[in-house]
Amino acid sequence: MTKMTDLTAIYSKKAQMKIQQMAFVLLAIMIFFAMVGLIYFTISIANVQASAEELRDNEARETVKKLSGSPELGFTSTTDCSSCIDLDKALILKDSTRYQNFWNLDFLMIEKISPESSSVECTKTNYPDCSQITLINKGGSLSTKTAIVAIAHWDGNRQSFVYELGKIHASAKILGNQSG
Amino acid sequence: MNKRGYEFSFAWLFAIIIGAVVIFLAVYAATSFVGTSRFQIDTETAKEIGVLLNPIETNIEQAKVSRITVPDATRIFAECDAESGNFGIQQISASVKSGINQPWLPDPGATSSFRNKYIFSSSPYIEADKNFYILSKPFSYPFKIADFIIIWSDKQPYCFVNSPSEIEKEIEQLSPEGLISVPSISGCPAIGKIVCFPGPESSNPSCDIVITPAQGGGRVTHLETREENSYIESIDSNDKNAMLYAAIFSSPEQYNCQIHRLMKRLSEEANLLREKSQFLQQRGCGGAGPIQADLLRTSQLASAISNSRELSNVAFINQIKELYDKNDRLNCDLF
Repeated sequence: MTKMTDLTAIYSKKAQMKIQQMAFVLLAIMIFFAMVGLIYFTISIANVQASAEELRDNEARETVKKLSGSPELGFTSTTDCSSCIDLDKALILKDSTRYQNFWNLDFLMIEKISPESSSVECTKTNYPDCSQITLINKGGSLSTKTAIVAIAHWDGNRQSFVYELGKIHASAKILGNQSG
Repeated sequence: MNKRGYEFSFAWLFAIIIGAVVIFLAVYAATSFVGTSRFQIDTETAKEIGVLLNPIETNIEQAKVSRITVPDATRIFAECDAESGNFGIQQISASVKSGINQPWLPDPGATSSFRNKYIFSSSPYIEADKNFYILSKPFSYPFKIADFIIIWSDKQPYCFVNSPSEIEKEIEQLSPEGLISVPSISGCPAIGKIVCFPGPESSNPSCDIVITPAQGGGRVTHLETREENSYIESIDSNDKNAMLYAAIFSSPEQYNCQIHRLMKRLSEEANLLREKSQFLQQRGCGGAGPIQADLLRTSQLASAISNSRELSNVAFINQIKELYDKNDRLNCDLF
């Protein structure tokens, strides 16, 4: 009987060792796959962020191209310049908070480049002797897209519309900046 | 024998339990991963479609036709929310058919929101095997308010029967895919929607949609649901049918919501032009004063319109005509 008990005792230790070995191997496998998964998800999340950035950039680029077709900024007073930006409307829009989230942009600025004017932000008091109208500026690090456009505005002295050359600068909405 | 049996059974039992846990976790992770990937693809597709709709919008054109080709069967969910903010919201989400697991996820991907887009399509979604067809038309009343983006697909082409000559000519010039104009129902393809304009076949039971024109507008009846979309003609006589197209291709629920959003935008644009006229008046455009009261009235009347039936409000229509005429008389036109 004693011998039998001894044998059983020896056998149990062996089994315990095997169980421990197996448990460690399984644990190691689990940890290995967990790490592989972690690395994979880190890379794929980075890719998702990159593709989201790219989509937002594309949206900003396309929006810039089509802004002159938007009735809020397009020049519709005459048929002389159908793809012009209406600078008078832009100045009014600058003071309106209602259009802040209208174009899914975090930055939108119209700059007059020719003829050259004093490099200052336009207000109703210095207009049109100024060079830029910032319609939207929500701050943050911005990747700005630019397009050359024709701009038009009413000249009270000449009693007619004048046409100039300008640029539109726009930047897409940044992730997490979704207010409004 | 007994000892060996005991040894194997315990070790195997342990291995089986842990193995089962590992396999369960692996299957769960794989399923979650596939689900997440599909959600990601659906979300990206919706955003891409939204971005692709930008170049389709018009500048000086009276209409633009385009096509979006998708690699796999896709559903676009174009939802309209008229109540949100000053302009309402156009939400776009998408679902792409998959060969793994269930073909369509129960819910589409994340929505992309746009305040400056107006999509008119069948609801709750529009499905294409390969191609979505898009017709973009500007709507002016009395100034340009927005571009209508009308979407249909290769799964549901449209057949216009006995359409007026200007629509027939436009379809001929634009040659949009999935949209034909024929003199008789017998010329329509077997699948798709048949749109019957007034004529000998307008009461034919094959008609899915019937047009009933009236002075300055009319009604579009969707016979399947027995619901009606009312439409008005644009002020621009060269292109007065933008809203008619929208009423044909759009479900009544979506159409009314978009009309509500459109009127909100008209109201805001009228306010913007009123401020512009005040500004121009200070800067030497003497005639800009009298139009300001009309712009204010237009803004008020437009903001009160919440569905297509209210478009036929006589006071509103007369006000728009008045505004159009007064602007014509200005030396510094507002629009």
